Amino acid sequence: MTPLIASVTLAAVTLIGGDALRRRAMPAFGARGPTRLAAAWLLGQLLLSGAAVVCLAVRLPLTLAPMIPLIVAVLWRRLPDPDADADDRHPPVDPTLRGIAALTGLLATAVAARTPGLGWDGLAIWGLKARTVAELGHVPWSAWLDPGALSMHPEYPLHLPLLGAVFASIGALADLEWSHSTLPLLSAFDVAAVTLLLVGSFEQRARAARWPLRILLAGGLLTPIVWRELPEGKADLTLALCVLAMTIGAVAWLRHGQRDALLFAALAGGLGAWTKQEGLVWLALASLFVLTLTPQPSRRQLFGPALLAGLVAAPWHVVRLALGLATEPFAVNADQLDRLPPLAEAFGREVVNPGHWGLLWIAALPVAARSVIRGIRGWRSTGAPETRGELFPAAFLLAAVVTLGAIFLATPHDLEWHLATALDRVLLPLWPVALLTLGVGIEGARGGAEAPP
Amino acid sequence: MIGPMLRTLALIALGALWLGAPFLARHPILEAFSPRAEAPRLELALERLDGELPTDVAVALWWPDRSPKGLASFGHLWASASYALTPRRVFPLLPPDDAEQLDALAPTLRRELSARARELQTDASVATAVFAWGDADCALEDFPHLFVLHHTGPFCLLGTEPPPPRPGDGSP
Repeated sequence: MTPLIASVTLAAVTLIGGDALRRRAMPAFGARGPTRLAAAWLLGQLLLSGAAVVCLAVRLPLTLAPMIPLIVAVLWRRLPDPDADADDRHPPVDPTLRGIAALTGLLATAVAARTPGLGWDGLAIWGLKARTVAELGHVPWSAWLDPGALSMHPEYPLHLPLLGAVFASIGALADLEWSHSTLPLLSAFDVAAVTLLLVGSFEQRARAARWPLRILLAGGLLTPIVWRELPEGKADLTLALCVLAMTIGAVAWLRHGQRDALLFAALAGGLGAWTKQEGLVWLALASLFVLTLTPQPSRRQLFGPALLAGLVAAPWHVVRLALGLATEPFAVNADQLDRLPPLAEAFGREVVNPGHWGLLWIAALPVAARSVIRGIRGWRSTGAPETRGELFPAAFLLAAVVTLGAIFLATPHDLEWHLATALDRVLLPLWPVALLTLGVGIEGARGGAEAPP
Repeated sequence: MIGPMLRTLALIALGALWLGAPFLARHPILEAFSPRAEAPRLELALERLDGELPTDVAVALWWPDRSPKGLASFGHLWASASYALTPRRVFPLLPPDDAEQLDALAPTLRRELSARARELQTDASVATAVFAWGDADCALEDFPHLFVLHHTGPFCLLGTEPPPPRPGDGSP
């Protein structure tokens, strides 16, 4: 039980620092309720892994890293919250949605705390790095450059291993040995944050479609693969949180012109690229859609957030290329078009697999297609911001699925083996965006309205 | 009157299907809280040998078929050993290309391990552990510790000690 208490305590420190950063840098976004909590967790993660990088760079103990979020919180504690007197702008609380969120968070934490050990990939790719950095106090680059280390994916970003190393280092102060549940606990907190972001978004829509959205959230959070992957200790659920946060921020920008939301989206997208390789692809894809859907006069405002996202996302990829860390090979040639039929068949089989996804993709893909058609028609005819807000998550979701197909087409690996080992978990980071797309689709069908988050 | 009722019934049916579909297969939440036998883990066996293993350990692979799956498995194998032995250093070693027979491989491995140890400027005792993938027999018994791991199932430990009992196989 003690690793759980240590992790929860450190998560609280992370939340405090993240909330201070949000209040300082983007006060108009997520000022209340579930969105505030989820945004604090995401930004706190960013602060903490950034602090770990600083500690490793200047050879300080990793146990000092949690001081950075605390210092940030203390320095900025006196800043007023600009939205403190604007309660009437916020939608009413939906206790059922929040109850579902609380239950999900508790259940995810319990499942993670009961995990007997990491899965093979969780151990090889994430657990080993986290534990090595925690116990050695530095990154063993020479070992990771060995060709034999290829299967531990040394090219993957270090956000999660560093976070795991900081949690383990703090645990070691309390004489706790390395716990197998450290990384799954981080995944559990990420699942809780995903739930909170969805609740924050659905509460703004609940007036129009209260019960369908409640049932959508409850069913979506039961998606089996989320609970199968949670004890594995991998980065897919952290990336899922980043992708959802990026999408929600981008939607708020496109619908309401909230620049703070765009800043949040940029940081979330950057953190996604600092979490996993695919995160860089999802950041690029989302940037392309935001650029396309932002009206010409407002495009100059995109420069700052784009720079911010690049500052978070780019350093690791520059470092790994400079060091020559092994990377996933790609090979594109005409012969590989023969892979299209088996690829389409594999995707088809996967999305209708209830043991993995329940009915999620069966519902989300047609709704996304409908939203894209409605959104493009509305965008061309009226150019109304609401149509852009409906178009973005649906178009991003469909484009992301197509992009995954293209990646599988270009991989030189044996297709059957690659699909069997990767298809379900590369779809996982898109799971909350699929739920959001369904929520937006339900709202569109019921004619509801959205307030700024 | 009938229209709204039918619509409500259809919504309830859809909701029930949405909530129930994930349980068509056994849901992982249920599995997480089910009693289960603790699978033998690499670390458990290594704990028994902890005092006997040197500071640095080399991981080699018997990999006769040269398949991509074998290479991926080797990565997992190396990572597992590294994880279990942290903070010891664990050096991965790829097998020579002409490795066809385990008997022929053993001396080659020994040479490779020693050469690698010199290259890495580590203690020569680095070559005290060999992890073999697949159905190795005792041809490598001159190595103090030989671990044979299987990708999904339990592993057995050969060499100086008998294999540990596996749950459910009738072992006492």
